[in-house]
Amino acid sequence: MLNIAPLTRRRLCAGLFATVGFAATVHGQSTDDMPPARVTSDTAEFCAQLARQLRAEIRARSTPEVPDEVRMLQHEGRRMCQEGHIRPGILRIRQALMILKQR
Amino acid sequence: MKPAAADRPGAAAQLWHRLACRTRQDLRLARHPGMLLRSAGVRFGLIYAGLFCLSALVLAGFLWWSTAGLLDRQTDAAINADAQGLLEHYQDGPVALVETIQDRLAANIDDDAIYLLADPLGRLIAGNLETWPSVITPDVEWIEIPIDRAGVRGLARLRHFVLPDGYQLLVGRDVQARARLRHILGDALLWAPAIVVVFGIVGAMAVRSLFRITINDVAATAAAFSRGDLTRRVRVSGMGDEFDRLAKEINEMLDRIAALMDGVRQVSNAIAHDLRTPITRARARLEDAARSARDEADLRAAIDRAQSDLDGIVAVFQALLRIAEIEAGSRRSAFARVDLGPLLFDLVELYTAAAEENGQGLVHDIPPILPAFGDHDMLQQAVANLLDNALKFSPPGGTIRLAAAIVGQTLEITVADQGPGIPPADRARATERFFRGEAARNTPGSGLGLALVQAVAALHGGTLRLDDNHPGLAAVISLPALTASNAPLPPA
Repeated sequence: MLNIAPLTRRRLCAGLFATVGFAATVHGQSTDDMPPARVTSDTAEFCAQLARQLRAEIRARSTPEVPDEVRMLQHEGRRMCQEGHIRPGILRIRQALMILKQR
Repeated sequence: MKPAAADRPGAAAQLWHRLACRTRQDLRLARHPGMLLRSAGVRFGLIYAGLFCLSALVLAGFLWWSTAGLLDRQTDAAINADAQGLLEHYQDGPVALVETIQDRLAANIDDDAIYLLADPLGRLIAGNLETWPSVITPDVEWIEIPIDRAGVRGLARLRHFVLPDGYQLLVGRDVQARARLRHILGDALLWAPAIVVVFGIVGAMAVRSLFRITINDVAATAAAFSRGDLTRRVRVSGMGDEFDRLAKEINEMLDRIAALMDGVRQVSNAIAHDLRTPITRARARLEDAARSARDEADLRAAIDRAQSDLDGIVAVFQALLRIAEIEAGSRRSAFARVDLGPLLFDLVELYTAAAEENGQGLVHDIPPILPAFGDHDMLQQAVANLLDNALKFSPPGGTIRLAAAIVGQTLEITVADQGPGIPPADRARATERFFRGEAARNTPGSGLGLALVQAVAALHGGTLRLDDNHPGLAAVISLPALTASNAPLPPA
């Protein structure tokens, strides 16, 4: 009643080790040895490019009134990029572009 | 009743002593792992611990799959959907694809999209990666690479497409947040085994302790019983579980053994007491003959009387052996379907003549067919014993009745006489070996007849009941009736 057949015992052990090994592998995946690829959409140049695109979109609008929200986001985004807060600045300019596209 | 305050320290000391003894025993076993595994309690505990740990691993795997795994699947789905849209634009030419990539980068509110388009010569023409990752070769489809986002290291998951005309496209997402979650989950799951192992060990020890308590109780009871303490029984917890059922079976077995040993003691005492008299009488007669016999005829007469006494003693021993054989159940294997109708009619024919000689009447009420399952000879002997007693104790002019009937699931054979009967106070002892009631003191017999009938009835799964016949005694043998389709199982 308490004896486990040798084959069953081996299978149980193999399953246990495979599960632990898999867990260790999944958790222990590492790319530390590779040099990171630089993302160019986090740079001041990209921020300036988006700001130019936003100005062009605003000028291209036939409606005389540009929502205040857009102007505010444009201003904030430009300022933040100039102050070195690139990613938040880019985010605001993108939000302004999104609002314009939706109108 | 709660122990008195003064008793509590004593009880605690006892518990500590038991724990210490058990730990020393475990340490001795631990020095020899093979011996440890021989313990059933240890094996039960290890099995419990193993199952507990396995369950925890499975649960952890499911948690991983449903959290980090879900995020992975969502990321891949988003990349595939994004790539599908881009590939449709590529059908309008590479320029359309470039514009689409630039639009998507401009609209990427989540700030997690990664794109890169390279021409057949490897020149980068659109996207937000500075260089083509060197690890991405034409045969690579999915890959995760480290990225640098404004000086902060992150992780991106990319899918690689080789387009017609030799263009190559990378579509991906920043998965640093997902990677952080995976690290957090992974750390937790790495600590979890330690906790699982601790709880598994505690649980295993509890299982082993429970197992040990029951086994030790049974072993201690068996040891005490072997040493002669026939009153010792296994403790029944009252929970009605498998351990309680085992304890009850063992206790019933011990009750049976104790009863058998009591019976052996009684028989030994009875033999010593009741056979001493005829043996002593035979010896006295031979001694008297040797002293005072005048001639050969006197001597032969004395020898004949002694032979007769010894024959009586031999008959008693044979009856005792017969009863012992019946009670041992060795004849049960010879059981077969028996029709008791003809058997009883034969007995009526045999005993009618003897009854008439005694001036008694023998009447019967027997169905022509009475199917039963048992031993023909033993059942015949049992009924014959009852008829012998009835003839012995019925007065001249009295009537002896032999009746048989099936009442429900029971077959009843009744032998009733009109003799002095057995007082209610003596009926319980009447089936004991060598028991002779007051009315039987002056009649020949050894006191074994009803004991043999009782043994035969018990062997056949039935009973012997002694009732008042008003006047006289009605002895009723009850047996399980044979069913229409199958023979009943032999009694255990």
